[in-house]
Amino acid sequence: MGYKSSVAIIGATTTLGNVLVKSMASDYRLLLVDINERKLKILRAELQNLSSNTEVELSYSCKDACWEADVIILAVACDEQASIALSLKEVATCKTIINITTSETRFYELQHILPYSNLVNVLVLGKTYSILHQLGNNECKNKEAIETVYHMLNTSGFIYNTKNIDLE
Amino acid sequence: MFEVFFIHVNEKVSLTDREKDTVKTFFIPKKLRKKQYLLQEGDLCKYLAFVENGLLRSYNVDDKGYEHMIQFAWEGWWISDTYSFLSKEAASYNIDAIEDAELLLMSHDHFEEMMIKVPKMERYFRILFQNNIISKERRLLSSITYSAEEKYTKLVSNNPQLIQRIPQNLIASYLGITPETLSRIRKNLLLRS
Repeated sequence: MGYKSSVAIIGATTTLGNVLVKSMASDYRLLLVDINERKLKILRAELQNLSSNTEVELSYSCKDACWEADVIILAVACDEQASIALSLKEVATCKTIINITTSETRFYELQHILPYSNLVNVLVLGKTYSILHQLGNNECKNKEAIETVYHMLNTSGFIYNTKNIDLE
Repeated sequence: MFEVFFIHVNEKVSLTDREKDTVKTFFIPKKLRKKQYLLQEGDLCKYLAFVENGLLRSYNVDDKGYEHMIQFAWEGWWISDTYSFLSKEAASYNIDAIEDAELLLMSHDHFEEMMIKVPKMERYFRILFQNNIISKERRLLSSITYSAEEKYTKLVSNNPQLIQRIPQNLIASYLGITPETLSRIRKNLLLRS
């Protein structure tokens, strides 16, 4: 017995999103969001074939999915992150948002858009990941959020790069 | 999203717009679907939940699998396992949604922080807890001294619209009677009216 956390994955059918969805499906209730409706439906069918215990909902609204979610994962291209962050700002207060990125250039923008969320920026290079820390006021101080990231990514098969990256 | 909440708060304390903006930053907006759990017995109750929209219940399941209703919470009501929330020990209750719901959740740390940053909210919660104690005393008295019919009549007169939203078996459980007894009571009341 235990409460199953709901995780919204924005960009569920991207390469990275796909890996996360499949590795998290057994432990979390997933709310999948993507602009590609066809790929989303294929992904859901694949998950249901893997196990009948999976709880997967498809959503075409970022805001609605994130409103239901306990944790939000952004697995979208850098140039989409800001607009998505704006769309879910109202329902993301105090929630852990894991921004999976291949570039740290948008860190400041997201932190500014989501000042009351527990934003954790994760840089993924291949199969390894690092947590991006910003020195100063915007550093994610929520230990629970960081631990959530460790748990989710480690069980997804990613390897934690112990050398954290500090941004000036 | 905070409409019902601030109407409720306004009944007890008056907040400035700036204070309202600060208060909002301490809450997690959360949607629950019908039958979805907010809390399961044995887990740690991490949040106080305010119901903006929808209907929730808290209940305990005994060794024989019977559900015992503790509380219903609809628009404008708070719901939690208060003992677990304050003591950080395992919850005794389950909380789930009878209807799709929109909630505002507050963690223990944010509860403490909000009291410091918006001191008026301390008065709000003091009044809330006072009313809660009174309500629980009345319910205890009712369960000891009232007949089943009196309990049901009182519940209906205090919450006429709510009765239409809650399944009869849950109302029976809340009153501590069987569904068959409730059905008989309702039939007798109908015949007399």
